[in-house]
Amino acid sequence: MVEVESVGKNKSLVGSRIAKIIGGLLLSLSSLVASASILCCGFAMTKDFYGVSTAQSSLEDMRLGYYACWNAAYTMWDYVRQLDIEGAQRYFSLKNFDVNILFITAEDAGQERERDIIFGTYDGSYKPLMTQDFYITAEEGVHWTAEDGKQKFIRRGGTYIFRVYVNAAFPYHDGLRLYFKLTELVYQMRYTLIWTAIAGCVGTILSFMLLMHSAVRSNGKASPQTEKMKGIYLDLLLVFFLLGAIGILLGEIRAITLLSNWDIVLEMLFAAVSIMVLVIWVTVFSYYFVRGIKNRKWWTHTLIYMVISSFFRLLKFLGRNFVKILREIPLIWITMVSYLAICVLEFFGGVYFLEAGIDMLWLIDKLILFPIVIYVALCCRRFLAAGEALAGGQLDHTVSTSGMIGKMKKHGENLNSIGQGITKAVEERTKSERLKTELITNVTHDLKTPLTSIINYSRLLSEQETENNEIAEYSQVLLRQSERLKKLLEDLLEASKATTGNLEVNLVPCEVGVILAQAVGEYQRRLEEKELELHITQPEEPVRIMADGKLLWRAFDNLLNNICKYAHENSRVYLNVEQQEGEVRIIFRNMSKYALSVSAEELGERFVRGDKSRHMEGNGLGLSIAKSLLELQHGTMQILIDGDLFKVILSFKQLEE
Amino acid sequence: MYHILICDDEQDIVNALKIYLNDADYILHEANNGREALAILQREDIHLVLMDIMMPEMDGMEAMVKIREKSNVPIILLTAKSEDSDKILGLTVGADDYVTKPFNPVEVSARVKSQLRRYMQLGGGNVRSEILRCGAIELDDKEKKVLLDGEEVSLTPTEYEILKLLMENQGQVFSPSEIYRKIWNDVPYGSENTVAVHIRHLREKLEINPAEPRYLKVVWGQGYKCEKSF
Repeated sequence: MVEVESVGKNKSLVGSRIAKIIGGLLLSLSSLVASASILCCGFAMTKDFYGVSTAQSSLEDMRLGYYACWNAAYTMWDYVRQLDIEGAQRYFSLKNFDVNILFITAEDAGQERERDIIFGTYDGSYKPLMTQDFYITAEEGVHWTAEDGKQKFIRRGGTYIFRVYVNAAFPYHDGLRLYFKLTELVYQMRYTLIWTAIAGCVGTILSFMLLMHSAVRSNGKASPQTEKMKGIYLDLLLVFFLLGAIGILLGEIRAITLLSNWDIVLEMLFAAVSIMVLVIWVTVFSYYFVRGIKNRKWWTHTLIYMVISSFFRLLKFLGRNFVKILREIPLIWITMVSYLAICVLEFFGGVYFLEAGIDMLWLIDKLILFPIVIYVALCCRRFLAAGEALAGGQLDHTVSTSGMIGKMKKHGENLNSIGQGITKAVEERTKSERLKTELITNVTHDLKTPLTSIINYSRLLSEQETENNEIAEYSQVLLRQSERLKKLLEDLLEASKATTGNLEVNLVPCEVGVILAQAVGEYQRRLEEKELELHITQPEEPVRIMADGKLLWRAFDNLLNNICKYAHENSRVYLNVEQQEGEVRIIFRNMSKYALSVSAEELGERFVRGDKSRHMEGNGLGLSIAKSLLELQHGTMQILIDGDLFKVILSFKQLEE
Repeated sequence: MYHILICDDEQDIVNALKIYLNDADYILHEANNGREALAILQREDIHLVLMDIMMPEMDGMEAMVKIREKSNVPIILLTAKSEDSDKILGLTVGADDYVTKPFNPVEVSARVKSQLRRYMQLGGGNVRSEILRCGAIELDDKEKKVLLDGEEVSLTPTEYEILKLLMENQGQVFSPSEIYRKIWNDVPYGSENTVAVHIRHLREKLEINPAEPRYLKVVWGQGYKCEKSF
């Protein structure tokens, strides 16, 4: 508060609180004076107090109390009609006026005679200020007996004069007296009133301007009141103002109707107060309006604007987030809500229209649903096709997402990216396999060159004639190990090519018997050296398979080599060819020289040897290479170990004749 | 006196080869890349080239193409590239033989000898109609004699018959049972192994490296044949 005042003082005097209070009081006062004066002036003008009109004007001739008199006349008639003569006498004895009912005849119309008075309260005890005649036609007839025993009557359909006398002394306080007194006052003050009216108006305008100025001035930016003012919306204020104004007007009208007609003084007083209140109301409204529009466009600070702008902001927000919101609603919910909506629609459609025999709605409903169902079915068909293509390994299949919406589109895109993802993964894997093979190939190539020199020189060394037995022995070791290294390198290369499928495979019909014979022919000598007895059993009919002879020989080479290395000397080696349900099985069986300390599965792995001691020649790649080679030819290789019995089964599909 | 050019970027290998080919008949020249090899070839009258493929500046393939533009001197490729495709490429471009590293020096010297003999002694190719020829192998049916690089090889009668059958039908594949039927005039009953063993022996006698035969080829799963292209 202190701050406000200080701000007001610092700003200007007109902005201060005191100025506002003074302004408000001045406004009230001057507006009241102005309105009262103007009303009185208007009143005086209607009475022609200023002598503008050519008609004669006097206080007696003003016919001022016409309505009051009219009221009195009819009150009298009411009493008479109800035959309440005493009531009438009582009523009028306390009033400033009296009424006489006079009978009129055709010949003496206008003539006043004592006998013609049917009933009256005027006894001539005073000189009336004025009289007023009212001609009233009786709708009904009444008759009564007067105090003096005379029969009095009013005929139905007869016209009577109700003469109202106004007592100039005004012995009783009532509206009429006030009216006449006021009229007299107005008459006396008729010229002063003009000046007071003008002064009131000027005062009103000045104080209004002062208040407006004060409203603008005191509306400092830092003022907390300003902040409070911001809260009042201008349109709300306007509505409030209009409602208030209408309320005041209505109140006045109500008051005027409630007050009797002759209470014109009260009426005027009330009108003046009302006008004052209205003026104050307008001022208050203007005050806040002026404050409200200060420093901003007036339409931005209206409730309507706020509501509309908030609505638009909401719309904008919804529009921006509509898709997002929709996406966030789970599919199952959307489906359920849609389904429920359709059900409800169908239900009400059924209830309201089927009864009337109109199946149109049902038909429309189905017609609308039909394309949706077809659409979903079509999308599903596309997905199905894509799924089958993907499952079938056709990774470049793309779902056409054109025409799809929402989740359908998303799903289609996902399917597409699955295909792309797998394709990419496969490509990368193929690439990495190729790189691996290339790496091994390159490395072995690079290793081969120095190895060549090692082998050559160790051979030269071993061929040197020396008397030093140790040197001869060492050079032999060098030679043997370098040869082993050479074999290892070759096998490594072979294994890497075989496992990655980097070998050219030409599958042609091969006769198992022939290749077996050829292989055995190749190995005859070595088997004899190891004193291994070979037993071959095969079907009499030639058995044919699809294989690449060269690769199959390499596999046989590895297996027979294995046998020569690891079979027990002086034992038998069995080679069986069996036919079973379109399958050809080539079985190698031999007794192992060493106890087999590893499982059959492990033996198929690379670099695994049966003895684990690695003292033996060989590098553990033979079986692995053979297995890979078999698989390249769509065959399988199985290793079985039963004690010392080592068994390798090669399986192929038999080629039908 | 034969001038032999050894071309390899590995000096150690060149030296080793020089030791193994140390023969009174050979005069050895050495080069470390294709360009040097070409220079020597221009300068000297070279009878055989031993060449590596992967060499700096100019590789073996390129050098071989250049040599082949002018000369039909025997070229033995000596390389670490052991793929079939590499061998085929090398032989197609113009190599006479192909040895993969790490090589057996004895094998290399045998091949050198074989190539020199063919180039120097049999180059004329005076073909007698009664003599069957497959590469370095000559079969004189009149004298029942088989020559390898002009030197007689002793074969058993069965081996001789099998070789004759294959050489008479060069390029044709004979299955072991067919061979058996034709040579032994008998029904083959589990006797295919015998044929295989004989062929193996034949290869051992006629091929420098029996595991990689040049003339008597094994068609695995089908039979045997004598290579036609030679």
